[in-house]
Amino acid sequence: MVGIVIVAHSEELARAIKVITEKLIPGGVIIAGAGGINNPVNPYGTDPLKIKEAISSVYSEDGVIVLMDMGSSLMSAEVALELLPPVQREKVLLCEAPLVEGAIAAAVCAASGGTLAEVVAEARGALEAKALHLGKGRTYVEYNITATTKTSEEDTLRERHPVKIKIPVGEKRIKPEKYHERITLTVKNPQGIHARPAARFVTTIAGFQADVMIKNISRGTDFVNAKSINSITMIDVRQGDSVLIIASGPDAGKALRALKNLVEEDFEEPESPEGVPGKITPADRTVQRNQAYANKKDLLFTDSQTITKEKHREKQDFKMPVLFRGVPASPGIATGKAFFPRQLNSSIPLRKTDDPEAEWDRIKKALDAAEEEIKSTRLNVSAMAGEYEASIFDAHLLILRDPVLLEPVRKHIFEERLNAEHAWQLGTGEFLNNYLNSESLNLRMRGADLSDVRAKVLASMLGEEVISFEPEEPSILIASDLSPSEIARIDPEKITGICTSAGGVTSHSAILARAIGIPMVVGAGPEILRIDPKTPLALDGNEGILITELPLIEKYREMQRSFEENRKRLAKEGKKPALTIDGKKIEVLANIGSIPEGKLAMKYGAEGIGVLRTEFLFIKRHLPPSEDEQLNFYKEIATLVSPTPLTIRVLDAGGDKNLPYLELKPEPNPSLGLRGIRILLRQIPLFKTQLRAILRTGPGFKIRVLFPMISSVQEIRGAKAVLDEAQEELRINGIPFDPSIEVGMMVEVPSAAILAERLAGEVNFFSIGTNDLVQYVLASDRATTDLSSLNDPLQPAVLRLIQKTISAAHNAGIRAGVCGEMAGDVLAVPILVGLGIDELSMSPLAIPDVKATIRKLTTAKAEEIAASALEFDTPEEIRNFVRERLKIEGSSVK
Amino acid sequence: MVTKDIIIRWLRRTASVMEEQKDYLTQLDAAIGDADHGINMERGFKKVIEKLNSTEGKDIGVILRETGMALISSVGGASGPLYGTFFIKASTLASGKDTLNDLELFSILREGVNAVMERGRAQAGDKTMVDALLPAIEKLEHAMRESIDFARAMKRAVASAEEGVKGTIPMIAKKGRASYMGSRSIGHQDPGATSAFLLLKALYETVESDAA
Repeated sequence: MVGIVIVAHSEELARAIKVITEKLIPGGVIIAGAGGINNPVNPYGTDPLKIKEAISSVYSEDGVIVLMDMGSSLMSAEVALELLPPVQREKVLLCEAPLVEGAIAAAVCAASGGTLAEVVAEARGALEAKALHLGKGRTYVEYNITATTKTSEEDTLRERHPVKIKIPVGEKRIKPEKYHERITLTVKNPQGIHARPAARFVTTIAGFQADVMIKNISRGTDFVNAKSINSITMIDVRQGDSVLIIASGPDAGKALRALKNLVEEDFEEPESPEGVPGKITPADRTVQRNQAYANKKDLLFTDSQTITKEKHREKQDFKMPVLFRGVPASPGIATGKAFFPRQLNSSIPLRKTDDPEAEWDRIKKALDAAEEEIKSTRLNVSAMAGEYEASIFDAHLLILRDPVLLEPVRKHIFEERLNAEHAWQLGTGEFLNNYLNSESLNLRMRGADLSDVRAKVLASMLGEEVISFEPEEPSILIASDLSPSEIARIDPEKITGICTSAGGVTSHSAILARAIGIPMVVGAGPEILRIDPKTPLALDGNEGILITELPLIEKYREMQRSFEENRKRLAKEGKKPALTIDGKKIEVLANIGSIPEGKLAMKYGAEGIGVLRTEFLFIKRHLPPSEDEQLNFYKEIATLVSPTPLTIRVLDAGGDKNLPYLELKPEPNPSLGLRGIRILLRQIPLFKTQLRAILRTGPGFKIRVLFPMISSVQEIRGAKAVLDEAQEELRINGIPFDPSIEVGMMVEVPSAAILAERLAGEVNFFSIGTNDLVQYVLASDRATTDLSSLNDPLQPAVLRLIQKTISAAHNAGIRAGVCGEMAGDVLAVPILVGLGIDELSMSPLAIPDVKATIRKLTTAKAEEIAASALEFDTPEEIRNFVRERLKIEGSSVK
Repeated sequence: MVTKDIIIRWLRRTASVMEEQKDYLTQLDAAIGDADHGINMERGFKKVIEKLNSTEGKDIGVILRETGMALISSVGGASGPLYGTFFIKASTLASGKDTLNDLELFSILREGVNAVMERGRAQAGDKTMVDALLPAIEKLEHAMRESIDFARAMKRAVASAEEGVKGTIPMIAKKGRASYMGSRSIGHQDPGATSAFLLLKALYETVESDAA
């Protein structure tokens, strides 16, 4: 039985409450008082030791509730709690309920076998009962929601079971007759009011003051709040259902008219029902397909499209396709079992809090962070795949801000004093279970949405990923979407391929997937989220297809084997040095951002790391990484690549990378705003910490430091001054570091290329970042597909700036390298070699081909190619010319 | 360098100071509290001295912990758990030690002050003991950074604490019994800040007499 402890300033008061309570409860309760202090002269006060003894005297496994009067009682009780053994402390709850009423309510509940949580809830309820009596209540309404029990083969014939859900409605009890406006509508669109239509529904009335309730007449539900996405979803309005919507308030009529329009226009949905096998998502339209290949594939897949998978949970309304079409994002072929990374394991911290406000604050912060993340995904998807595809994320945003979802979370925090993570999981879990156990396809799909949002918020609270990327066997990762940082954490040994349901990815995610050599398909549609875990799959990253049909998967396994063999051959090729025929050595380095990429780089023959991007250390967290954390990471990479050099580029934040602790203001044009060195020079402590970590990595390794986004002489001098300070600090403190570290700068802002002569005197090497240089020189965004012919490093203007930068470097006696994607383009390499480039740094997988290309050149031939290339006016002409000169088969290059 | 002996002398000095200042503290408390702060502090430290009568074989950690336990079990008002927490939290960093270097002594004071702020949910400006403790500990930290010896550093810290105590006079109380008085608490010096100042002053006087 739960024990009760009464803490009061006066011994008599504590004893009196104990006596009243015992008299009222015939069954007997376990209660102890801790009142006053042991001082005959002034006996009023509170004594933590006495409280501790009282708790111990009533303690059992069932727990103890402590009720206190005021002032020092609270602090004394807290001290008493700390004096208890930790095992017991977990089960003792300090409760803010009113002392006398709370004690009696708690006793009644405890005597009838209530759990600690129930006893505490009852004690708090005591105040509610009192308030209600005096006419100041706050009540909850019970709704009968027609959800369904978990379905399996046997219970398909079973009737629906009504499930009671308590939905708080704030200060009032709903009385339908009070709602003066009402309307009955029949929903005709195929999806019913789910997903996008539900989001449209809620956003349509969000702006109205009116109080709006809705019930699904066809399914006999009760009224629920029409402004809540979860409530709307729970009443499961499907095609053909009739709903009754009632409203009150000044603009009630307008609100209902707006809803009427929306429903009558079928929610402005295009006519394209989901769940059609082999359906082409709108995102596909943005991709030009290789028609010949597609035809061949169509032959291959004609039969298989008609095969359905019977063993699935799906009911008559849905057949699992055996082929899902998406958009190719990273080439290659993979086979493996279905793996869903966002299924959380149970490592969620569980504790009681005495500061619920702070925990609630953490929830709110996490919601803000998740909102930011979803908004940025939405923006990307909108740019890549259009507004319609992107609007699915509106539903995610609504889920985040849904008061009905948040209310149970709030209660878990304020009433049961659970920590934020635990309260969040429990509170949202109730809804999630209702969704996932539903018989309705739509509800289960919304469950996937909620699950996704839920994991995002949790991840944000934990300040880390709760997402596991460690399947037991080689697997194909399936998710709604993946951020660049998530992809960066993937181990290519475990994850053989990636498939996302969302219609677009950021170009960064695709670059990364390509960088670590993982085939990736995006926009394969939400159906893929319902593939059973561990289903054998094949993924074709060249064509953008995910396959579940076994005979086909076997064919893919064979293809994968030959693909692997080819890679092995390449890796062997890559080990040889990159010497031109006449013996000039070009350093071929790798761009990496993670340890798996580093391993890959070494495997494919990198002669060092030209750029270690450090952004992944800094993103997705609430505080920047400490000096030691950075040091450990740099050391690990340095050890991996030693004795070859490691170039560490300092944080290139800003632009699209969200680092909450930098407190950056949103900018209308982030790529022209605060980013790279511009931020670091305004955040000296952050900058210096990173430089100290880099300097400390030095001894025993070849470490170089690289400054991004330098656009003026002052900036590089400013950066070097901070580097000097960091060295000075280390010297004073006697911490070992490399005093002769090489300093380099990125040449990626046009002004830096123009000023190359002046800047060359400041550094040991230049690294030309062609990706940004192209974007800035041609004023064209790489994400804008219409501008892709402008956004090309072989644009004559870019080549001329590269030429100028290299010759400025050589005149000053320093090295010049290229570290953009251009460095891995075999058609650009002869030109760069001809212009005198010293180093090429690229994605690891490009290394073997680039080295092979270099080995076919003589310096004279390369110089001639470069000189001629500079005379052309378009990238196409240049490519054709180089291709001719190299006599490379067109099929093996882009 | 501070020995166990100095710590004991500090606690004894504090006890006698609290006895001397009992009426003064109670008077201050009568204006905005329940007129028992002086009595409570005197009783608490008397109990501390009783417990310290046999210190043989005890290290500084044990001594500070026993001090804390004595205070929480005898003071009665909110200052019991607060000062008790101060010493108990401080003791965790001194466990097993018979001497403390300057930095260690600073660290245990810092730990104690942090714990008091956490326990009382009080910030600077709430008109509580934090208004004496926080400026003192910050001044001490500053002096430690400049490698000033502990006695001189403590002198500066005590001066800051005293300023802090005076600073509570125009404040509106936001915590504890005095907060019930709202703006009527303006114009009165906070008794908790005063006793905290006395505690620090006793430490200064002890280390100073040792250094001399």
